[in-house]
Amino acid sequence: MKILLGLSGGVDSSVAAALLCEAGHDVTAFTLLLGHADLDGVHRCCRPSDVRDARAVADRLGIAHYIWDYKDLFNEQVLRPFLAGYAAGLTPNPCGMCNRSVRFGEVLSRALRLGYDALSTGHYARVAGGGLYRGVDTRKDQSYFLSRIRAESIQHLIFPLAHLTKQRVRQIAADMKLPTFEKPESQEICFVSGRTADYLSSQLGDRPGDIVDSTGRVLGRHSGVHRFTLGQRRGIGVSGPEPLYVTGIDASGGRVTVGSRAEAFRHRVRVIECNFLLPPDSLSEASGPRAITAQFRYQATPISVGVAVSDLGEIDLRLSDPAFAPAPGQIAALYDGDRVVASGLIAA
Amino acid sequence: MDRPILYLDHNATTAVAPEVRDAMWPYLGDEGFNPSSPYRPAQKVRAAVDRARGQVAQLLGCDPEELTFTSGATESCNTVILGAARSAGGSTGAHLVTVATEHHAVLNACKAAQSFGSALSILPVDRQGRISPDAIRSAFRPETRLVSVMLANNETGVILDVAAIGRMCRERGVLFHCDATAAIGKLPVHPHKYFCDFLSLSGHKFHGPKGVGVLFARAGVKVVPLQFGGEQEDGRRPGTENVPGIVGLGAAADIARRSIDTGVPRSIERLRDLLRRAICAQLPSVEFLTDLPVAGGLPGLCNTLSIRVPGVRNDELVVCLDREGICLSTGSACATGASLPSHVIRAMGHSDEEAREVVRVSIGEEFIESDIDRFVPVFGRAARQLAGGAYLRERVVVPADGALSEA
Repeated sequence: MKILLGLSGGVDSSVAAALLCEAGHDVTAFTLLLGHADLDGVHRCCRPSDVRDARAVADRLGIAHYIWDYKDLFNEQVLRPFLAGYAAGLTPNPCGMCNRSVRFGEVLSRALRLGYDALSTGHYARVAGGGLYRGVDTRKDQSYFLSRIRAESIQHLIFPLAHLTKQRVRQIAADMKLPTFEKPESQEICFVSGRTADYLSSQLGDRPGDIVDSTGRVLGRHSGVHRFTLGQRRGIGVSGPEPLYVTGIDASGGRVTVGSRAEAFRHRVRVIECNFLLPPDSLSEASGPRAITAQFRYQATPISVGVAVSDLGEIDLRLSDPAFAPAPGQIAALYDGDRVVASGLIAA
Repeated sequence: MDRPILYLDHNATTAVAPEVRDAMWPYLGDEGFNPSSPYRPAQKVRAAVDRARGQVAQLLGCDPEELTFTSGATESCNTVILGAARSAGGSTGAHLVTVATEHHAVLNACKAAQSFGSALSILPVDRQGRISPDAIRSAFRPETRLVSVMLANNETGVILDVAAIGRMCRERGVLFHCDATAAIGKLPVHPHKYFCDFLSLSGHKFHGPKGVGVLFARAGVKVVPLQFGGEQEDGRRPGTENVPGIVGLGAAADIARRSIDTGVPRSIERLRDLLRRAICAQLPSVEFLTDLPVAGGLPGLCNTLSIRVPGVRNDELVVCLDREGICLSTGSACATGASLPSHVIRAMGHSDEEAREVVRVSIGEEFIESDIDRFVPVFGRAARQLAGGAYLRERVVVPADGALSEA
C-alpha cells in the first residue's frame, strides 16, 4: 500500500514507520510544523515535533520525508478555540481539536488527494472494520484523543502500534537501531512549554474575579478563570480546614466556586457537539442492551452510563457511579467495550 | 523509482561540473598547503588562487584586484550592507534603500542594519516585479548611503534594469550593490557596465562548489570587513582561503564564460519557451507570473518559469512530482521547510493564497526536448488530481474593531 505517515521524531511514530516499511509498504513520512509556544498537564496525544530526529529516522529507513507547515490552520482550528475556551471558563482539549481538524482532517484529505491509500501515525489505538478501538496497551491507549475524528475518516487510518505495548515499542526501536529509541516521553501540550496556567495568562492577561464557596461567600480573589479547571486542587490560593476543590466556574461573572471533593462529583453529564461513530439510534437504551461506558478525561476509568440522544444530537448521560469533576469543554468519549461509539464535549 | 531524476531546480543549486571537480581535486589532496605560507609548494597554491581570481575577473570584465573571495553570496551581501551601515559618519546614521523582492541575504542584512540604528526603505515593485530608477531616486534622503538591487530574481526570473539604477546612483553619489547570484552563467554580468560599486555572487549557482562566493568592489571603494583576523584577501576577508572552493569557482567561471560565448543560454531559453507552450496546452488555466515580454521590459532569466496553478497547493504539487522523480520547488529553498508564502510573489501583488499556488521550474544545460514530453503530462495529471486542495482560500478578514471595510 502507499501510506503517508506522520513522523514526529519520537519513538512511537519512528517504530510505526519502521514496521510499515518492514511489512513492505510504500511509506512516505511527513512532519507537521504547528507553531509553538512556550503546558504541563495530562495531555499526551502527540509529542512536539522534532524535525531533526524525524529526518534522521526517515533517512535511516530510506523513505521520503516532507515538512509541512500547518501553522495557519492550527492557529485557526486549535489555538484560537483553545484560548477562547479557557477564556469562557472551559477546559478545552487541543489534541482532540487538532486530530479532528488538522491531522485527521486537512492532512488526511491531502493524503487522499496525493493518491495515498492510507494515513498512519504512531498513536496507540486500533482500527478494524471501519471502527475505532482502544489500543491494546491500556496504559497508553490514545483512543480518547482520537474519538473526535469523523466517522468517514477512520477507514483510511492505520495505527501500526495498535497491538503493541510501549515497552515492546521501545524494544523494537532498540532492536532496529532507530536513532530515537532512547527519547523520553513527552508530557506536555505540544505548543506550550512550561505551565499551562502561565501560558494562558500570558495570552489572555489578568482577568481578576472572586473565589466563592457554594453559599456565595467570598473566600478570596483570583487572576482569571482560565487558570482553573473543574476538580482542581492545587494553586487555588485559598485554603480551608479541609482540602478545597474547584466545583464550578462562572466565566461571565468571573467567579470560581470551591468546595469539598464531594461537591465536584456529577451524576449526570450533558454532551454537546457530538461526533457519532455509530448511528445515534443504536446508542440509546431503548434500542437494545448495549453496555455503554463513558470516559471524561485521558486515562480516567470508564463509567457505565445510560444514553439518551436528543433530537438536536446532544447526548444526556446518566452515570451508574458519580464521576469526579467532568470538566466542561473536555471530551466525553463513549465506548461499547473497546470500541469508540461517539464523542462530544462536556457541556457547562 | 527506476527512471532518472529530472532536476528542474537549477536556481536552488547546480551540480559541480566534472571539470570543476577535476580542478579542485589536487587541492583536497597533495596540494593542501596554506597559500600564505612562505615555501615553494605553498606558492603554487597561491598561484592557483590568483589564477581563479583572474578567471572570475574575465567573466565579470573587471580587474582581479576588485574581487574578494567569500563563503558565498550571503556573506558578500552582508559584508556590503553591514559595512555601509557601520561606516556611516555623522549623527544621523546610514539610510539604506532596497526592494521588496530581494533575496533574504539582502533583506535580512538590511533589517539587521536597521536594528543597529540604520534607516531602511524597502521599495515596492509592480505586478511584473519591476522597479524604476525614478522610484528609487524618490526614496533618497541626504543620508542615503547604499542602494541594493538584484540583477535577476531567483524565484521569478525577472531581470531588472540595474544599469539604469546604477547610473542614477553614481550620479547621486550613492553606493550601488547588485546581487547577481541568480544571473551568473545565464547572461553576461558586467559590474562596471551596471555602475556597480559592489556585486555579489555564489559559486554553486553555476556549477561551482558550495561554500564559496565572490564580492566585487570597484577599485577605490573600501570594503569594510565583516570579520576580523589575518591579512588574507587584503584584509577584506580574513581567514585562511577556501582553496579548493576558490579554484573550483574559478573553473566554473571559465565554463560560464564559454557557455555564454557559445550561446548556451539562448538554447536553454528556446527549450524553456517550448516547455512553457506545452504546459499552456496541457493546462490552459495556469498563469505565468512573468508574462514576457512587456513594453520596455527585459526578457526574463533564460531558464526560469514561475507558474501559478489556480486551486493547487504548491507544496502538494512538489510532493506529487517528487514521487515521479521530478524535482522542482515552491520558491526559494528554506532551511526548515516552513512553507511561508513567498515574499517575492506577494510583493508582486498576489495574495498569500495565490502565492501558495506558485511553483518554480528552473532548467539547466542538460535539459532536452524529450524532458518536456516526460514532464508536461505528469505535471498536468498532478495538477488535475490536486485541484481543490487549497485550504483557507476564502478566508474572511474581519478588522479588529469588527467593522467590515471595503477593499
